[in-house]
Amino acid sequence: MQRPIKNNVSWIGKIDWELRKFEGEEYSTHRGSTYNSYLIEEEKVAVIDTVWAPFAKEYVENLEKQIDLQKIDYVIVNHAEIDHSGALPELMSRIPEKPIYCTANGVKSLKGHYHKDWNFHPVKTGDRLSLGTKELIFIEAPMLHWPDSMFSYLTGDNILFSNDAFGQHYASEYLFNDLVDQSELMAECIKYYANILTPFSRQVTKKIQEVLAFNLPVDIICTSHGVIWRENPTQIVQQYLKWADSYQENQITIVYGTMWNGTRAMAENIVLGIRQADPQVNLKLYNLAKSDRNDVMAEIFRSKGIVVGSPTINRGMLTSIAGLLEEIKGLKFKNKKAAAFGCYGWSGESVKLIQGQLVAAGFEMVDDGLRCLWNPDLNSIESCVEYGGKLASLLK
Amino acid sequence: MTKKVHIDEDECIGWGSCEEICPEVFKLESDSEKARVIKPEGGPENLIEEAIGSCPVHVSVGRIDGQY
Repeated sequence: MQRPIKNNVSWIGKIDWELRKFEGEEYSTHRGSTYNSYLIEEEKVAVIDTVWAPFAKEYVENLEKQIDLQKIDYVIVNHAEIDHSGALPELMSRIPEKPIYCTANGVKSLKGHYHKDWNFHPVKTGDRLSLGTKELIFIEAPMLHWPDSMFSYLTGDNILFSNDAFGQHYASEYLFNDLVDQSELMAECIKYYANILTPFSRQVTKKIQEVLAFNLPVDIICTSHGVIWRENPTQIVQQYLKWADSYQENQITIVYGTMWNGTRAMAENIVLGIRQADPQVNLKLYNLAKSDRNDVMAEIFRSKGIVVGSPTINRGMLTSIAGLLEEIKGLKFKNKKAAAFGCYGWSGESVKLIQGQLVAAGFEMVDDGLRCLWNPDLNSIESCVEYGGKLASLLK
Repeated sequence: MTKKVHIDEDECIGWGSCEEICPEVFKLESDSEKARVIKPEGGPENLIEEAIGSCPVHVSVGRIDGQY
C-alpha cells in the first residue's frame, strides 16, 4: 500500500518477509527483503521501478487503488533486473503506450527479458524529465551493478533514487533507516556490499565522486531494497567509499571443508595458534558445509587475511571449497593475504590448487601452506598450532 | 577491408573485460584506469568481436572503417 515519503513522493513497493534466497538460490536473505517502487504525483505522474515478478498482480491491483493507471505519464526503469522490473509486463499491459525511461543498455536488458517493444526513451547522464515545477535528472551508473543501471534525482525534493546502490536485503515494516535496528541494518548493508558490489568498487568510488561533484543536495536516498535513507543519508555514502577502498578490518577468516575431521582438526589448531600469538585479531572459523556461503563471504570481505583448507579428493579439492573459490575470484577482493592447508592420504594436491585459485583471485599467498598426512597425530597438531602462530605475523 | 579498433576514452569506465578477452589488442592502464588499444590494426577477429560485445558501456569500444 502507498506510504508517504515526502510531499508528492510515496512508496508503493512490497515488503517480502518470507524471502530466504535471492537470485535463485545464490544469495541468502535471512531477514527478507523489500522491492521499493515509488510514485511521484506532481503535475506529471511518474512511477520509479516496480517489484519482483511473483508480486506483479498484487502490485498493479494496489497501484490502481491509489491512482487511475491512465494518469501515469512516465515509467522510470533505473535497472532492468527482474526483482525491480518484474511487474512491468503486468503494468504495461494496462498502459502499453506510456513511455519507459531507461538507459540504452536498459532497453537491451528489458527487451532481452520481456521481448516487448515498449515505448522506450533511452536517456543519458544529465538528461532531464520535467514533472512540472520539479524534474528528474538521470545519471547513468554502468556496472552498479549492471550495464543498464542508472540513478534518478528529483529536484525540489532532493531525492536520489539510487536503485540497488546503498540498498540491502532487509524487511522492515518501518521503511526508514532511523526507525530500524541499526546493527541489523549495517550487518545487511555490509553483506550486500561484500556479496554484490565488491567487484564494482572502482565504479562505486568514481560514481560517488561524480555525483558529489554535481553539488546536488541529497536529503533522501530512496533505494530499491531495504531502508530509505532519510536521516543523515551521507552516512551510507561515506561507508560505501570506505568499503570500496580495498576494505579490511583486523580480522582473519579461516574456512575449510573436511571429510573425516582431519582438516577440521588442522583448522581448529591453526586458529588456536593465531589466537595465542595475537590476542587482538578478530577470528572467524567456518566449516563451510555448516555455514552460509554469503555470510562467510561478508566475513572474508572484512578480513585482512584468509586461510582456506581442504583435504584432497580425486587429486582435487572438495567441491564446496572449489565453489567458494570460484565465487571469491568473481568478487575481486583487493589487498588481502591468504594461506592454504589440508590433510591428505596419498597425493595431496589440494593445497597447491587452493593456492593457485587464490593467486588467480588476487590474493597474496604468504607461504607454501601446510599439509598433514592422514589424521593429524600429536606432532602434526603441534605443527598446526605453530603454523597458526606464524600466520598471525604473516597475515598482518 | 580491415576495420580499425578504437575506444572512446571519455565513455570507458575501466571494466577491463576487453583486456581479459583479447589482451593482444586491449590493455587496461593501471594509472588512468581506462582501457587503451595497443594494437589498432587489430588481431583475432572473433576475440575482438567478443571483447566489443562484452563492454558494459558498449558505445566505448567499436570500429572505424579504415585501412592498415
